Amino acid sequence: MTKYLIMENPPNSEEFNKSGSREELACAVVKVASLHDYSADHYIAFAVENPQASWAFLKDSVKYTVEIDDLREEIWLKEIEPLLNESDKLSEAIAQAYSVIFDAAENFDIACKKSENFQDLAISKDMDLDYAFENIGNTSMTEISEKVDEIFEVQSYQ
Amino acid sequence: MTKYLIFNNDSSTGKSNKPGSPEAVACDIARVVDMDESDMDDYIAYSADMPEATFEVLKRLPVYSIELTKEKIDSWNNDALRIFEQIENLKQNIEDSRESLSDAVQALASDARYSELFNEVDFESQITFDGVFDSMVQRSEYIFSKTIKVMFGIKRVSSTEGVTT
Repeated sequence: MTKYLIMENPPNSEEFNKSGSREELACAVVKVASLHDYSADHYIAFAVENPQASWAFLKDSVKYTVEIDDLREEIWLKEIEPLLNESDKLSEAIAQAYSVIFDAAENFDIACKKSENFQDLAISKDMDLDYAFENIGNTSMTEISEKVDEIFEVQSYQ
Repeated sequence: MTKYLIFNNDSSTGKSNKPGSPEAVACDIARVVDMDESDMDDYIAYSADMPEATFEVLKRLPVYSIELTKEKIDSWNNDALRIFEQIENLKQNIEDSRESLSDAVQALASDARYSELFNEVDFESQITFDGVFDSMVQRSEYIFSKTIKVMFGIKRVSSTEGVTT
């Protein structure tokens, strides 16, 4: 089992996690566990034996640590990732629904304004879509996040 | 101004109003006020001064009565119907969105069922949205229905259970 140290990757940094590496996986784990919507390059990870990890400790810049081994990597690939994809699709469906319904309500209001007898009628405000959609509780990310946090022993140092 | 009486129609009689006629407009207005998915021939209307209206009243009370002028009929055809189409479009978008969300939740729940880690998580029960979508549909229907009711002065005479008070 290897511990990975995760720190913020400065925007102008030329260092990136190698694609497909465990370091990249460590950052993906943190992203899910912390429920943050950062870009893939927001964090950078180093295995604890890497000299850069010691340097990060000295600078007190470690934000998270995670534990990864073969079994956990397999769990990520076979269990977590497919579910994350479905959860993302659900989030996209919710965002799409909001957009489609908002546009249809706006079109209704525009048609009313142009009409002879329905100028006082408006529905967008009355439907309060923001509030309505807040009540659609997509708990999938929270469920996945809690499990990821537990399996990968995510520790926060913030 | 002509008064029209609107009755429940028994489709087995084969009776229906002529499309585009004032009687058909009266029935269309009644259907919008009802806010349910009734069919075009679920109602039949007669001008109150026609013998058919008298004959029907002897058998049962009308569900609605409405007084229509040519201006009101023009308002329905040229203005209200356009707004009605927008409401139908909005409702259709709400229903399509509900279906998309339902599919996405089912796909998630199906993956979870076969997962070793998440098989005890019931996403279908946790992620609920039917109430939200029902409320959106009802709200949009109600606002339009209420406006039509006031604008066209349609009056409810009896319900299916009996005479309204």
